[in-house]
Amino acid sequence: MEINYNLIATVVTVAISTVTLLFVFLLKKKRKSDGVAEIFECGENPIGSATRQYRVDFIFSMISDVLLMLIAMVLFYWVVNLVETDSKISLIGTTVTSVIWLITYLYTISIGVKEK
Amino acid sequence: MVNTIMPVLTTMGMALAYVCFFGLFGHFTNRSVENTILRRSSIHGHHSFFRKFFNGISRALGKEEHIPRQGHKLLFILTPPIAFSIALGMWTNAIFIPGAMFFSGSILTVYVLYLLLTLTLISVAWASNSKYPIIASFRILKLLIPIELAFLFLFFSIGLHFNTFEINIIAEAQTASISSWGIIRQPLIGLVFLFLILIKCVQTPFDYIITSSELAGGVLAEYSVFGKSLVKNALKLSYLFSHLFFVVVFLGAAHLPIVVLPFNSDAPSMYAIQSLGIILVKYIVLLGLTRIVRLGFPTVKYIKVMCIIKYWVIPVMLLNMLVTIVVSRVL
Repeated sequence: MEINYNLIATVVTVAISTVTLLFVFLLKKKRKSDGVAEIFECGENPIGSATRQYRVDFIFSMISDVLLMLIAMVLFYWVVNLVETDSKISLIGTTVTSVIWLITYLYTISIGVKEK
Repeated sequence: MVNTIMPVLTTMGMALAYVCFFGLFGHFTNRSVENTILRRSSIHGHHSFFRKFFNGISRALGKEEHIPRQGHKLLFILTPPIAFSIALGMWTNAIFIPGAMFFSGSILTVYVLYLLLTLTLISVAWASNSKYPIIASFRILKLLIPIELAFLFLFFSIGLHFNTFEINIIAEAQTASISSWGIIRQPLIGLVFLFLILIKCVQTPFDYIITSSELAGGVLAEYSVFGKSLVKNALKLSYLFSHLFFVVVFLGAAHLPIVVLPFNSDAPSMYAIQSLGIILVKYIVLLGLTRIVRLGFPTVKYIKVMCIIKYWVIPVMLLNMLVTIVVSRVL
């Protein structure tokens, strides 16, 4: 039996994205008692001077990033399909998913990072 | 049973041979360029490699790894070896010997292994159960998720352009002439790939997250010797692999623009050795160039890099992918 690496890659990537999303929630829950989550929620990064110029809501920003990642996984499926089958439906699927991804991206960057 | 195990063992053996061969050459190139630019004596260069190597072994055998009390012990011990095996797994995708092909993976597999390597960094922080590694893991997630997104669009563009995700077919497609090289066909993607690789494998002059100092809050702050060296070497290996990957996918693999190698079907091993030599030369030149860029580039803050990737690189990569679809499929 021939191994379909692309299919394996798709499944593993979707699994990794989901695990990453879980990590974000678990980390937040786990560190709440130490006050680290509050530090992120108020948008300040205590390490270094890197975030002085900007106010970054880390938790929101990370969740929106992972959301973008998950939509990109749907795109992943369509592009693999497009390369392998070259069908019209996969072309339409790729285009539509790209547009959905772009709209989500524009929405998240409009509220994600603000200048202080 | 033997029939199923033998190919796997052969592939792993080939990967190890590749890592030793290309890894050593890559390491010496990096060190030589650094020593020349920084005007250091060679005691920090070639000799230190062997000194560090034997130091590392003696410490790994003699020094006990301190495990944090409330940390996840199993994850804490297992994650560094897993990170190192993922880096080795990347090299199994690059065993590309023209004329005597053993195994060649898909660029999507490479992408998944990059993702897994990122996940191991976060897993290390999670297992440490300490404030600084967890803060660093947040920063890693924040920076690396946009990088992964940019990588995804980048790999899509390559796949759509060559109409395949198989690395050996992509390399074969570039052997016609210099105009068929990936870097000539998709120059923007090639440059962005190098830029992202410098960031991802911690070879940047950027204000990055993985450091040994607790003040800077690296994810490896709780590790003393063995785990730290394994994770750092895994990152270094993936950095070196990325250069080999770049040579195979963008720089025409074993193709030379001026001299045409005669293919003798009676002596494929000779042809394979010639081709490997060409790949090695390209790889070393590329490593030298990126090292010069790394040392000469002014330091950029973490937040700036994040903004550049999020606001410029990702949209440009998406646009590039859509243009590739329009040019290759619609027109």
